[in-house]
Amino acid sequence: MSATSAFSCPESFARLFELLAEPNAVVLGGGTALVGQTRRRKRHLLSLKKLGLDFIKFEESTVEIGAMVTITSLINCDSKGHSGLELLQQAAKRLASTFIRNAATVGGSTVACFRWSDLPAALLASDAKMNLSLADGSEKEVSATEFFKKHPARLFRQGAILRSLSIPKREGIGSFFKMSPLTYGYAIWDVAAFKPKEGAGAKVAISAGVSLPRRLSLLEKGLDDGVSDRKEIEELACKDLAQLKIVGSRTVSKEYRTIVAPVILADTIERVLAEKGGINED
Amino acid sequence: MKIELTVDGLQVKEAVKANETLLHFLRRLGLTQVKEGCGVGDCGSCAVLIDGVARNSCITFAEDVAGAQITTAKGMGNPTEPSTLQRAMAEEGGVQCGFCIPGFLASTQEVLNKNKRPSKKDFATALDGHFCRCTGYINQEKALERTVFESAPTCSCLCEQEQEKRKRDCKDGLSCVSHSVKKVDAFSHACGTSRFVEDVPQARDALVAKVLKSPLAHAKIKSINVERARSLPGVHCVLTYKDVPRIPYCTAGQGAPEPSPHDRFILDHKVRFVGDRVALVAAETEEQAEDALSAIEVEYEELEAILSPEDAMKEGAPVIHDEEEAYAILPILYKKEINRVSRAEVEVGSVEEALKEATHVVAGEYQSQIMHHAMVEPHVCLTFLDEHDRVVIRTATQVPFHARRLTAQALGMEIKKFRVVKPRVGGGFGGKQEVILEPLCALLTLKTRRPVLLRYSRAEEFSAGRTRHSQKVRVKIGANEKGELTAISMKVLENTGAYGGHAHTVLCNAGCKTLPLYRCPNISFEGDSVYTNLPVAGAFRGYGAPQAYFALESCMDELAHRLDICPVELRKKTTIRSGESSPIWEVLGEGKQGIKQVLGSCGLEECIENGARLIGWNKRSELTRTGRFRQGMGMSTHLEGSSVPEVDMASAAIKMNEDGSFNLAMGATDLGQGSDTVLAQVAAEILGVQIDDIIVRSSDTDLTPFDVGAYASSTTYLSGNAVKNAAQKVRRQILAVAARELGRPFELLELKDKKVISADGTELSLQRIGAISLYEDEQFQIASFGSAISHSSPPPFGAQYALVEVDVLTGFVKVLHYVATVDCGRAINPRLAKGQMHGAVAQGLGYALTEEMCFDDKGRLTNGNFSEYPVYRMIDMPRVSVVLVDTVEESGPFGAKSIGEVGLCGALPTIGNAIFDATGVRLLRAPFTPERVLAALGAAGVKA
Repeated sequence: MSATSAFSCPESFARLFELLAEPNAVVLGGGTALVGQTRRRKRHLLSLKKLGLDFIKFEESTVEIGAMVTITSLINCDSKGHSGLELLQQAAKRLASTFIRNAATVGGSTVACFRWSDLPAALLASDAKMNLSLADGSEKEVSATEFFKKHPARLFRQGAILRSLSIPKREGIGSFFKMSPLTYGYAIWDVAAFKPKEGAGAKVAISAGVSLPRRLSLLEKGLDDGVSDRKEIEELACKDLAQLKIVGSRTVSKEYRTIVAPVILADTIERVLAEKGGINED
Repeated sequence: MKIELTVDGLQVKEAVKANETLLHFLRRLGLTQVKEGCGVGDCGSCAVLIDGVARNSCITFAEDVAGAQITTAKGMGNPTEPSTLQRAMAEEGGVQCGFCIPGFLASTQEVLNKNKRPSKKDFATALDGHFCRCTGYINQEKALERTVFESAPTCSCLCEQEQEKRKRDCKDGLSCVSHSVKKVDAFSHACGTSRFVEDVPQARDALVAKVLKSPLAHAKIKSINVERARSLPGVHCVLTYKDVPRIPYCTAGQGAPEPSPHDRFILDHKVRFVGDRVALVAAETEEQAEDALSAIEVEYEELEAILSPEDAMKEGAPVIHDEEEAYAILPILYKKEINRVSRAEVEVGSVEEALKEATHVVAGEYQSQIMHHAMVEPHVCLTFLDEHDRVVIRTATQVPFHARRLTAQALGMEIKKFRVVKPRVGGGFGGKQEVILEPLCALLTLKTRRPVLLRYSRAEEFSAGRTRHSQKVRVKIGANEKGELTAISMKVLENTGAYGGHAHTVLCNAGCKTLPLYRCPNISFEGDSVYTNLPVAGAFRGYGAPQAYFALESCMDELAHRLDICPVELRKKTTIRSGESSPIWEVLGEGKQGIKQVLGSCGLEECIENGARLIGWNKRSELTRTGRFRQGMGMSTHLEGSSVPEVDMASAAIKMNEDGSFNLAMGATDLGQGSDTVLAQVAAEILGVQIDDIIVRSSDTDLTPFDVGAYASSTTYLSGNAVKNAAQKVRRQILAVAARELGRPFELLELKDKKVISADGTELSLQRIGAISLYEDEQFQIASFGSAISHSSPPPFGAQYALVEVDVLTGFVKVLHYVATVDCGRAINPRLAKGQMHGAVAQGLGYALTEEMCFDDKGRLTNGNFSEYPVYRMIDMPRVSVVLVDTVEESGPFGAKSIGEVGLCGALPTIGNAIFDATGVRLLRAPFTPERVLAALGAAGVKA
């Protein structure tokens, strides 16, 4: 039967959690992915826009990004030399289109975690933390690694919401690479790499060609150990990838993804090592 | 609940449903400037400014933007008072069909509001969610540049050489033809006031029609129960095959009788592809119609599906059209028992012997893909009864007169019961040369006596619209030691999908629009077009020729390589020249025997030379061909046609008004390409007025004379000749009135600048002549009809070049520069002609590199959306250079030939040849996706 949906815009978390307890309640971020799905389903749409979650706060050691910050706002904010944030901004620039970036939110893009989502790899590489608000009024911090270990939807079944993301302040260089046939369209691979300016703690992550975004530990260790030879990087990448379940999509085969993943991982890491950073904009 | 918001400066308080999109809400308010192209945020045609930020209204909940300020194209300006941007778009040729423009305006306006001096890249990034299938973006970029710098209109989009030519034309006395005047619909498109099918009040009151689609590729309907659907609230009509006339017809809009099988019923008890229609519903709202579809219970008996032509031709293969009624009127060797729609076989000379004797023989088999038209406006049709109970069909069609005939035929009714009106159309590219929705929608109106609106969603457009035929083309070329061609053999196996509307003509076109390119005494063509259980292939810009050129021009490149001759020199040596003929023209036509023709105008050599100069062909040896990123240059040449000779017919009517203006009524169909403008220029030139004095009405079967429609590259050439004939008759009438009035001999009178001038300088204005003829002396209506039929199909020519860079580690191919040259005779409107070429290049790049409809092993389309079916957007476009090489074709209006299709013939072989030049690897299958390129490189052992 036709959807007889309702639309609410709660102004407090208490009211939000009350409404979230309803069986058909759905949290609305920017709505860009949800509109198509919701047209014919009975849903109670809950907009978060009056909960004050559209903030970007710079603390001494972190930057906190509210879940309702749009992708465009994220891109346009002054990073204040915050390398992790800059990496996330690089990924954000390659997310869908300007129209969608103008509406889609950081929270929505993170929670949905579609295979074509472009943010997760950068969230992993920037060592992000996810701040959840729970129905009982408590808060919970989940590392990106833990968050994406299984599909994030599991964390929200009991009525939690993603309130914000925190990116630790680290000096370093990050690079994001989206491999796609043309600018607009789903990624074949998303790759993000981050190397601190000093010391260990490099992060390399990959998404789109795997069922969930993943960090690549051997490459991370290699970077920490000072690997710089392209061949060695590709070999480490192959070993890392061997641990993952690479998947084919409706237009790209698993085999192709498997062949090119070490290449673009090496490309991305070479950019980091050359202290170039940046995204594949050309 | 009610929401309040500001729309284009006006306060609006209106009830809204919780799940209603902003797009739906705004259109419900009558803001028809907001267009739906995809419904899922992929195309950008629905974009509006929400508090100054451009967003897709199709994926925005109306309620979520309560309190916001919404700005649509309407709020930016109107044709009388356009914004600077709208004016620039109109005057620089930034609009073709106009359907995507309101969304384009929203995104660019946001950039302009935020940045006083935005760069080209700023705009391209802002427009990355938007695509235009018509323009190729170059003129839009010019309009944006002009807006930013508040500069004067560019006097021309032409290079120096072309501007010189224009000056010569002016000296020839041409005052309107050969000038880049703005389109007659430029300002309405640029301001979003153009009315497309759904943009009239009847659409808002109409019942919404929906089609139940088959989930299976091949099945019989064992039972179908619609009782529950019929009982649902708001549902007015539910139809299955049991409720409709069982009359076989052909959906292809072609001359009658069609060289195609009549193999389609309005509804049938068998389905032949995923997306085939099973039932029809009309209800008060879209939701109610969808509910009704969900309530229909269908039991299928699944049959083995055939997904390739090879499987279809195997002995014992399931028969897709096993119904008794399907038949072919013309002898196309239709043999449905073996799934064959048609076969063509011709030979001149003796190819086999010539190949045996040839010093060099090259051969290759090239497979092209199934491609989606991606016109931004999907198929859409609105029907209603007029006061005389005739059915008015307002439809997005390229073929209004065929739509009327075929709808009548499918419903078993008389033609006179129907009136077809083509309003503005949001692109077609061949996809709307097909009568898909009209009979269904008309039937629902007849059953319910209510207006009915039937529009395809983008997903439906992908699966149940039309596609480009995939073809496997095998070419063998023999040459002697001097590099002269001695034999060409071409064999085609074509996949026409589940129905065969354009099967035979596309098949024949693969031969007759390619093989005449070369001087060769021995040529053979052989082909089969075959049914499969895939979506229906139809007409698509190029109509078989691009597929065949892929094979032919790749083999010519291979031959040049084999002979160690420069590919450019080989083309110059072997291609046809003015005054020559090709035996193929005589033996192979489009669906029947061809006609003998001697080539008139031919600017191919100039095309080849201009292209080579622009791409820097002589510096080819300096390109990097080692390492990871390898560069290469490729080229190809082509010819096409201008109308289907001895088949196509066009007509026009012109009448004069008392102010010296003229009404031009014609059946020709403008779907964005600009035929209303070009044909008005032809009339204006003959009648001594400017284009503003020509009031155009086209494509209304009650009000305009017959024309076959917009296909076969016929409009400028054929409809142009019809307009020319009509205008010449009217001109004679004007001069006769003036001769009588002035007392001067007819022969000494000249008509120009809105007046008749005698040799002694006496003048009579057109306004005065109009007043005399209508009110004063020997009164009569100055008016006439003109018709034209083509007796030949003068080919336009082209040469295209590409400079590419191949990443041999990932297979990505980057086009660095693309050059397209064309001889389209004298360009009636050079800016529009160039716009056609730019648009064709953008489509061609997609055809060569990214666009392919993919199917699973059940025949289900797996990438029916623009996130997985990538089309080129402004941000993706490489540097593109287009050159018009002017010639004068004596049989065309003012020397014009066609340009609509020739531009799409080159991309596949040109880019394929460039990849070969870069890597030494020949790609045999299109598109050249990174995966396919990498596999080919791997097979050839190419490493960085």
